[in-house]
Amino acid sequence: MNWQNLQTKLAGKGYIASSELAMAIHIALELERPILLEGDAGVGKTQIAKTLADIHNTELIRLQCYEGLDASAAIYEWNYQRQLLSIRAMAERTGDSGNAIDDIETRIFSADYLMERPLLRAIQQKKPPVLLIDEIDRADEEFEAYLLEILSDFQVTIPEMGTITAKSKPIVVLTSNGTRDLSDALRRRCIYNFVPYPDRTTELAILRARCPAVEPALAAQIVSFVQSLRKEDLEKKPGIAETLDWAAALGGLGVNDIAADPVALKSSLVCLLKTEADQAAIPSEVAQRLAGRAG
Amino acid sequence: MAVTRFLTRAGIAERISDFTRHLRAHGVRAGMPETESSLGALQLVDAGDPNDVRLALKAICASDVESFARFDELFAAYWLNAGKQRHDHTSTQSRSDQKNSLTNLSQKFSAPPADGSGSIDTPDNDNDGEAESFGEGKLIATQVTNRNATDMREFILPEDEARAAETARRIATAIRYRRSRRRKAARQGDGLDMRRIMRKSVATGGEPLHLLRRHRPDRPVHLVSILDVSGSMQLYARGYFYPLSKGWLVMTSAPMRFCFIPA
Repeated sequence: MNWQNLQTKLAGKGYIASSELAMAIHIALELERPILLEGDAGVGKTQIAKTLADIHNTELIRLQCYEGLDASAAIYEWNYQRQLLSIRAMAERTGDSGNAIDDIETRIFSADYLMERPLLRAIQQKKPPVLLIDEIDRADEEFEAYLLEILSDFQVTIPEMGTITAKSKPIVVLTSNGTRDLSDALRRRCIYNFVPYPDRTTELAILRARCPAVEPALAAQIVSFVQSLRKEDLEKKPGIAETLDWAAALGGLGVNDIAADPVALKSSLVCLLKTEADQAAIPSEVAQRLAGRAG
Repeated sequence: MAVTRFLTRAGIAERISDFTRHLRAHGVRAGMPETESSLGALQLVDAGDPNDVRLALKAICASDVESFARFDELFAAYWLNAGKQRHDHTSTQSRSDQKNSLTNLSQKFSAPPADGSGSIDTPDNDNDGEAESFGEGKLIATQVTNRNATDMREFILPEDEARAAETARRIATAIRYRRSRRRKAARQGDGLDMRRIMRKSVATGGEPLHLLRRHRPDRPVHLVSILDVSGSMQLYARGYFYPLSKGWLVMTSAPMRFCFIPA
């Protein structure tokens, strides 16, 4: 499969990918390397992982990163309660002999007492899953160090058990909103792609693919309006997800021409403007002007 | 699409390696792993199609937003500049034996060697540096190097750098232990603190048993060093940074703080 075929397949699943993105995914898949996608929120980074899982008909394992995320929440954790119960049960049954203590230790640090978290689960699958490590920039730098072993060698080292090597190499997709600079070590292990806001043609194609019920004329108006809105000085520029939400909202309100219905336009803008400052920055007059230009 | 006419024949591995060096010279963090991955990626695409090659190499070599944005320009400059490749003057010598160091420059402009005669940068005649405009033979071109565009670190030898660091350390030390110009202690100095003595003497029936003195509080000395690292100063900034950091270490154990002011 070449990158153009991949691009076509992604489009078939409703994901319109740029040539650069399709090539990056193609190379990442062929070289079995993770892909790091950076870009503003709402440009479709997470959706790529979902679409890839859909194309490969495989499981999507998602790890949502946050500040304070550690190995016990991301890789593995011992089931302490169960270990304690087993220790008590075995001690009552066997007494305090030396061999029995060794047996207990061997047993409680076995796979039966290991709770798999997303990363370990991803490398334990027989069929390669899609592993989505979402918003890696929210996690601490220490956690990036944990990831390095998994991303380069696809293995996890558990001190009590040894090294667990991947049964199959997962398709790893990392996303970042650029709130923090990621380490060079992590970047160098990944195929990188920056996902920008789409241009007018691409966004129109996305809208048609994802919301086929929207009239072509209205779709063109929506895309032109959103493209103009992104040029305004906003705290949070609307992404593709917001465009799709807005299109669905306008469809629900029965609007066929955004310039002709200022009330519906103003009330539906909550789908695009997600902060109070942004809503104040786009009063009805500005929205009307943008809608008039879009029309 | 007009491709570059390279001066020498080279295999694809060498060419990609040279391209990676070109990227590195322009601030893109690409090294041997990227070269290796690029060669692997080229096997996955149509290597005869410049667009495919660009996309593949971009996916491999660009690793952050800046390099991603600049990659197309750098790619075109290397592979598609429609002209002959020029020689890069990138030196492979170690910095210690580079010929254009300050020491060598100073030697150049110092007195001529004892066993030679005449000046090394003017012709050997009596015309005050003017060349003869007649005679036999042919004029030849001489190489001119633009030293204004050379990174200042190229001129600095390790011993120059060590001397600069030592000077910075001495300046920092002198600032830190600067003597006061006062000939006698100020009143707020180590004089008797009457208020505290009176308060303390209440406990001993009015007898001032303990004489308390004022102590001048320890106040940190602030050293603000401003180093301009903008485009025009980039050639010099790196050279100054090392001595500056040495001076900083003398003043304080606190980490250096950096403030980047965007344009």
